Amino acid sequence: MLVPLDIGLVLGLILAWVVIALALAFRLLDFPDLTVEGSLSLGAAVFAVLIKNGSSMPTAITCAVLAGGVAGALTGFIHVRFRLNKFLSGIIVVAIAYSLSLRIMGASNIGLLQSPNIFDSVESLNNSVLKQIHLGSILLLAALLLIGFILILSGLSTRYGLGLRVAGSNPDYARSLGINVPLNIVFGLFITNCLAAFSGVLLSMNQGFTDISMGQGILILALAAMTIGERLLPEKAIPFHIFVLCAAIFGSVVYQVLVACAVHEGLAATDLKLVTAVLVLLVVAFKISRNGDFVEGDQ
Amino acid sequence: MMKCKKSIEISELTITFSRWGQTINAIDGLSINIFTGDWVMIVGHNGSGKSTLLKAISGRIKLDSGKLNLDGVGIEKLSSAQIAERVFLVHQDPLQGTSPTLSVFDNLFIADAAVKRTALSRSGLFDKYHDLLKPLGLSDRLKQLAKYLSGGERQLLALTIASLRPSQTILLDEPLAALDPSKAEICLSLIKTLNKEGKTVIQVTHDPNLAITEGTRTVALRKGQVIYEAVGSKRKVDALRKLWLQEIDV
Amino acid sequence: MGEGIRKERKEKNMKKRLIALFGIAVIGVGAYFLTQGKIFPKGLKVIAVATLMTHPILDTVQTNMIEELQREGYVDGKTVRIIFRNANGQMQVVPSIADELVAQNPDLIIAITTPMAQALKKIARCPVVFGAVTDPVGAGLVSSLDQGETMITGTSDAVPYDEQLRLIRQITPNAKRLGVLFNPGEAASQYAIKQLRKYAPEFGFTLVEGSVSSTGDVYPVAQDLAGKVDAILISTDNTVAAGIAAALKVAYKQKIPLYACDSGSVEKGALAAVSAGYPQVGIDTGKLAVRMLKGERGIPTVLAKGSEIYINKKAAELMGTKITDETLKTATKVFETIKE
Repeated sequence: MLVPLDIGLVLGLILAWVVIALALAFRLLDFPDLTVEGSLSLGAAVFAVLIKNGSSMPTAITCAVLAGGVAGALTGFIHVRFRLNKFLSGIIVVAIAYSLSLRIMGASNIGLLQSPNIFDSVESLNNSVLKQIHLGSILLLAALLLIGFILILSGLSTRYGLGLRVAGSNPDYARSLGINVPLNIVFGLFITNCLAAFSGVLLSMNQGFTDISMGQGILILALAAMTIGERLLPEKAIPFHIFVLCAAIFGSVVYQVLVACAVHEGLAATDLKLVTAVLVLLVVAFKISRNGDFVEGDQ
Repeated sequence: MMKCKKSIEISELTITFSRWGQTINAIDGLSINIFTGDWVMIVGHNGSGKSTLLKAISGRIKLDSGKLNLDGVGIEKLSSAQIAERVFLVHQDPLQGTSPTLSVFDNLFIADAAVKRTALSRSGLFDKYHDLLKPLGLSDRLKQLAKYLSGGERQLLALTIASLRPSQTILLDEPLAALDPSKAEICLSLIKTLNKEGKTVIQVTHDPNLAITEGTRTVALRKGQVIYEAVGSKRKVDALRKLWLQEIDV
Repeated sequence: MGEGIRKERKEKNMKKRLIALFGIAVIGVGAYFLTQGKIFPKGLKVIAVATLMTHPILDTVQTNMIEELQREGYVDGKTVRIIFRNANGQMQVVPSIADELVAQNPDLIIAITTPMAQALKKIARCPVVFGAVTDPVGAGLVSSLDQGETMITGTSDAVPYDEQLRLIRQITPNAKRLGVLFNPGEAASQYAIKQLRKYAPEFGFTLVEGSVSSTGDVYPVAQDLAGKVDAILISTDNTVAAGIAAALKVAYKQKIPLYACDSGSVEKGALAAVSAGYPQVGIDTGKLAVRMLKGERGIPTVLAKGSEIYINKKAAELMGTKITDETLKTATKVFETIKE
């Protein structure tokens, strides 16, 4: 029981960033952002190449995160400038990001076992307590998430953060307040895709390699996690933006733990995609009937 | 004492809509000038073009022909932000005119143009908004999310937001329509105060009595054109009522 | 709302821009493909090489095959023109890569990996040589292994799974439960798992299957397996091979022996393998290509010769496994370090 819990926690905390990215875009900016698949692998690709070529860890991570952000900004730009549908804008950028990632990596796969890794610093903790639990990794990831959580929350409470939220939920009203809606959308997507890229970086370090297919399936995964989190947490009790953040993190962890337990019990990973899709469908159907009234950004 | 400065000039304005294959002239060659400090009451039946006129002035609809100047500048030449500096529209539907997922405080916070200039601390702003909302009976709701306010309370919030905007002109689209009598009274006195402070108010109403008794000018629209216009005490309820009934017969 | 007219006009403008963008894109892509054709100096034969993805086994085959071609006088750019295509693990693009290559009218096609070979055999108008296909009969490429066919031949890298299990038994005599990491979506792995199920009881192993559907699954599934088994085996599975770093990470951390079925993986840090000699597979593929180019037809499939044993000493150390000198002596090659 400990093993799947451990696997699920680590993966859940790593992917929480991309779930947050999708959740913020979806719920606060009213933008179903498909870009996250592309920005996650782009971030991983940039990170792998830089770290392999001897860049320092902070440089590699920063560049990777910014690369992801640029992808998100591009999606926003395509949408506001060319009036292209939100979905299509995201899809186009994912395609661009895929080709770009391949070019950057020079191969479809880069091994990172011998490269520096932030999890190395907590190796000692990982081997203490219980051998099976990566205690150090879990604490490190949780700490990172906590810092991110606080930063995002305080950002969203500033005048600009509030403007961002209004631009997303009610663009017409935002315009009448003098808020530059297109700029806010582009900037908002920049930030969220920075987060998605960060997930890609952490994932690469955790699993020891970067692969061009890393981003595939992330959208369904993030949607499933997001839906689970929103369903399990009480929506009424907390301000909406805090609810969205918490649901994303919580959902990501719960989802990965559930998956790990299922795999542990013998469910083939290949059947997982079907199970995930069905799960999302069930939860979404249930949610609509339970909460049919106004929910910000409901699709 | 009125400054005879034209803040909004409209001449030969035409706006057409295509609906179900038919082209309708929502506004048909309308001309009107609105002066700084005016409180214009616009009446008319449904489809007379009142809401369309407000939307045109606030830049939400493009003109098909004619001129619309805000402070002497054609509206096509102004960006959204520039329009927002001059004109603010309070929607008929308070759901559209506030941000339901933000708290009452945050709603006022982003609307408050004075924040940048005065650099008040958060608690200072809190006090300011508290005082603002006191006469409306909403001062204890600052921390609450706007979506939990009743329709009438939200409309009052929308008006308070309007009072915080830097825009000279405030457009009101049937602001009293959804309010119960007591709230309507508070709302009306708030509008009066805004006008006294120097804001130009353009108010659309479907109540001809109100249109005569309040405001400084009354304008009646029918099928996108001005059919009646009177100022101050020259406004007569009977004249307006006659036009009103005429329309129903027709 | 009432923004109809303003929106309409803007959308018309944007539509024009989109069409312009699209037109530029079409011209750009067309130009790219046209120039691809134009670069060939006249008269040179064209060889198209297509593979599914990058990983140690396939790279070994491809490199050795190219070297063999060069030895026989077929040098890219001088005596022959070689086009390379890599699907980068994306199964969906395999058919379109196949289409594109056939459209270039090559004189010979070399298809590495089963899915690529299947796609190309279907539409090729020229001879096809397949490389490193585990089960050519099962994949529908040839009707039997001994009889040659007119337009197709190739090399098979079928792993001797009984030998593999024997080696595992030899190095880790006490292992009872053997975990297998594989992607059931791959033809080669379907074949492998059937063979393993057949031979496992003979050697006293209980198989625990750990299936993955993408490279991202390798790490969590490997971690999960590690808790349930005494040793892990990865076969010549493309998905797992791409994620081998993750599997190795688990093996080193949990001190579990991880065996492979190819030399490339052992070089990268797997403990040991009984491998078809992949360099030889590459050379054989190259030889077949040469024979087909010279006009020979009806060549039967060339099976990987012999089973060679590869061992990595450093890996053994990291996995906490002791290897006897006797065993080391039987090895074709012993790696002292781990290649990144």
